[in-house]
Amino acid sequence: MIYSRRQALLQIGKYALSSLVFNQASASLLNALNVEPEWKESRMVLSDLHVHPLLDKWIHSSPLGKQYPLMFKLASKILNKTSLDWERCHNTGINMLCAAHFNPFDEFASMPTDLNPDAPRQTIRMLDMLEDEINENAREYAKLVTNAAELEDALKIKPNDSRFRIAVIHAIEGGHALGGDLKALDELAERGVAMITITHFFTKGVGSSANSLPFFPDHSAPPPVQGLSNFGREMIKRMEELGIIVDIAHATSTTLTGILECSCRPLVASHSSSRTLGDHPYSLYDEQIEEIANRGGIIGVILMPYWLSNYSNVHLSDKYGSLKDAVRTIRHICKISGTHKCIGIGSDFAGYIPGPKEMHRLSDIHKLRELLRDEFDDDDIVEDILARNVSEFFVNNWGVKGKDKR
Amino acid sequence: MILIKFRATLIILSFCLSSSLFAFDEVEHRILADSVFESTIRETGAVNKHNSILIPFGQDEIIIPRNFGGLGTFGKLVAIFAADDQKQHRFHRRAETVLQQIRRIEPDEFAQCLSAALSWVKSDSSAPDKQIVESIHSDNVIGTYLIHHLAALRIAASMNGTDNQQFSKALVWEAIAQGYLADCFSSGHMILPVHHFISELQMKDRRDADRHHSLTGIFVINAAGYVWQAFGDGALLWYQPSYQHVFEACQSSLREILLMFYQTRGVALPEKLSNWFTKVGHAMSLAKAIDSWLTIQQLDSLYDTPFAPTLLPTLQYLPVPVAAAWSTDSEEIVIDDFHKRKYYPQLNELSARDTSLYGIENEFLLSRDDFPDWMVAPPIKDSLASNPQKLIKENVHWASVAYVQSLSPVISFEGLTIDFGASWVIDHGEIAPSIGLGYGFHDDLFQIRNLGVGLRFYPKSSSSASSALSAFGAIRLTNPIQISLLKIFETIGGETGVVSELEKSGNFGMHLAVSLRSKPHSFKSMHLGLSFEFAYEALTIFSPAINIHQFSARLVLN
Repeated sequence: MIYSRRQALLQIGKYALSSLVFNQASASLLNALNVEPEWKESRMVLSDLHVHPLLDKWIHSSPLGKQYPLMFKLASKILNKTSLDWERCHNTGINMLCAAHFNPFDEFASMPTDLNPDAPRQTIRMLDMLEDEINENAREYAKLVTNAAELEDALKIKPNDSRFRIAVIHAIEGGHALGGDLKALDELAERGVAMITITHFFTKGVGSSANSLPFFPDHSAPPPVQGLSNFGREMIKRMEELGIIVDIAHATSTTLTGILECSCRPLVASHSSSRTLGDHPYSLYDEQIEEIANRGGIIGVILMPYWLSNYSNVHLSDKYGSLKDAVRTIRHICKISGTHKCIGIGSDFAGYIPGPKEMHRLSDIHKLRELLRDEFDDDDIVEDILARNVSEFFVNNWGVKGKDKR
Repeated sequence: MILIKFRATLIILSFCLSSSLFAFDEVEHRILADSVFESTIRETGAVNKHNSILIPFGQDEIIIPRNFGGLGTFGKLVAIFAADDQKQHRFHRRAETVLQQIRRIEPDEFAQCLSAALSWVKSDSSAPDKQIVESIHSDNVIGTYLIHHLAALRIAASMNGTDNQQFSKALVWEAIAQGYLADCFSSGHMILPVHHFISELQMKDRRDADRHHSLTGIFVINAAGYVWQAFGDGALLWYQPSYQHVFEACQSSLREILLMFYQTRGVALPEKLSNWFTKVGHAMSLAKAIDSWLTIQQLDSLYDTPFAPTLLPTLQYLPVPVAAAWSTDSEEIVIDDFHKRKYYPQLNELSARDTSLYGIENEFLLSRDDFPDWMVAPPIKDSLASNPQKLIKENVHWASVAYVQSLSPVISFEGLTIDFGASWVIDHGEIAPSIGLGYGFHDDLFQIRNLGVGLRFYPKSSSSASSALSAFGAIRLTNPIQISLLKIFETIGGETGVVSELEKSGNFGMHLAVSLRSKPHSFKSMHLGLSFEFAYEALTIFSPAINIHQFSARLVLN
């Protein structure tokens, strides 16, 4: 059959429209099916220690992002394989999200040792951006909480209540965000920052960090040995005076040893893995897991398979990496620490990481839940791991100043 | 004429450049061996003296020249004898343990090696004949290393000449062995397709595997309980953990020569050597070990002992690829009081492995029978009928660790290809067959990649009064664009050439084609790949004017 141009265009239009309608309908149906009414009505769904809801928006709103919009859009499409959507997360019943603020331009646009004195100002802008985003576009789905009391109140509201909102908490990823100025901590504490990750990709004068760029494999990265700097020690001391939780993710074992020596409050490893199962400098030794657990801390298991096991390259982790890697890690941490109470989830979703092959949206958390239910055969334990441990930790430790009584 | 000379010069230069690029292995062998030699010989208290090395030897001293065999330093000697890098006997056997590979040594092979070594020792020649040496080997690199190393030990033990001469000659033969030992640790030499007749025609299977795995790395395990990511030719000096393991093994091998030399002459061992043997020997008697090195007939008994470690300490360092391991605490401290883990291989038997692991290469989970007893993880050994999942879930000291890596043969575009196809001729609506033969150039020959030539035969059909033969050049680009809809296709290709009608001589024309080829599906461990190709072809005969446009689907064997 030979089509005229008009007929051909009509056919194409019909096809596109039907695809769109079909996709929308199927998406809604799938979204509805993803929600388990029973679970979310009686139990907590997820309290995630580490997500990046605004990283894409921050990058695109930067001067470079505005100058080369297509390039950054393409990079986002190719590299940012996981996502979180406010509406979907709200419908799923996700309880709490720690929104990790990270300015890549501060980190990458200078030497690994250099601090950017303008970093604190950029950090405040990121906090502003998140607050604006929630107020303007996600008011029905999320609510920023700025202290433990607000968090506790928010967590009391169940998903079937119209007042239910995801409790969003400010967190900062990387001590470089202070720009070398401890006074910035005061403003951050006032703004309701609950947690700061001491190091990130580079030392930046705070503490040596482990290689965490999967496309830059461990064997290419020089082994970092400096440990925690004096500034890092002062930073931790001031954070604990202000009641900001110390996050040790990304730290090398030497840096973590330094943190354990100078800190006197429970610690968080917001998005980590076990070195026994995934032999990377990024991962935690069993001794470190035990120590964090003994101090009443929380270890958030990252959902990026590359760190959770041993893949010879990131392409194989894309192909084979699954939520089962996370379940194996959770089981191991449970075994080593002797308790499941020290475990949480730090997905790192929307942070330009490749996620497990069966889960690319945070709202698909039910997939992890099912695997954990098979593993532990106890819904209380599953709820603790997914949500309750993290929520209770923040309610009990956020804003608490001074030495832990343990 | 000038143009011809220029082109010829370019081709020759390309050839020379490409040859020198593949000689990079020589540099690595030389640097590694020289470093091993210098650091190990110092453990005897040796000092340099002009062009010689002075080694304290009890009440006397031994003086050996720095110029070994008249060929250069120890490292230079290793590099010279390791030049046949792509030979089959420089590679591991695929998916076999160290014990299995040692068991492959034929008694004749060992006897031949010993005979050649001792004959050379008695001769006046300063260095062994390279051709003779290269002809003495087992069918794998571990076996070949072992027979040469045992021969070097025998030379060190024999009293045919003066101490100076004997020691020097032992070192020369040990240099031959050390080339094989270094290759044991090269990831590019660990994964090999099964040897079959097609690979006799072209060495590309070993070269492809060598090139690919050398740079991407392979997780390996050894009897000493270490797991690491090994790299190969071209990356040996780059990654310190990988380099450290091969360095330690080469050092251990040289120390065995020193031990043999001192012990057989009743001279007290230097303190460092003695301490080293005490550490690796785990209370094994040196006299018993040396006796076994000299007299043992069943060579696998050196490895398959009733107790750990092996009778020949170097053997415990030899790595093989690992798919999954049992990991336990060890006493060894890594850094800041954190304990290193010790690893045992998971086995093929269901009761000896974690069946919940996925993505691992099951081919590399090997049988319990092919490991010495002391290499089986104790909790697995003690209760083989038990459920390993219980161990994983309940025992805080043990963990199951997966190593996900691609150990399948790497099929490249290069070398011989055969294709069988069917074409749908657009204007005539009929299906016509074709058969083609091609050859992809190796980049080490012409410094060019992804170019090839081919011949394709199109039999007579209703759309063409004559059969046709096309001779063309081809270019193929692999993974140029990641197009989500076309994920099954890996290569985009183009062909251009001359087509001729066979029944009507003098009728020539042009052949143009564009194609999409899928990723090759490999036949288990054979180095053959089968791909699907879809192409659009245009065959044009100039006179009389005939234009044939067709869509073709082909199976390509490569």
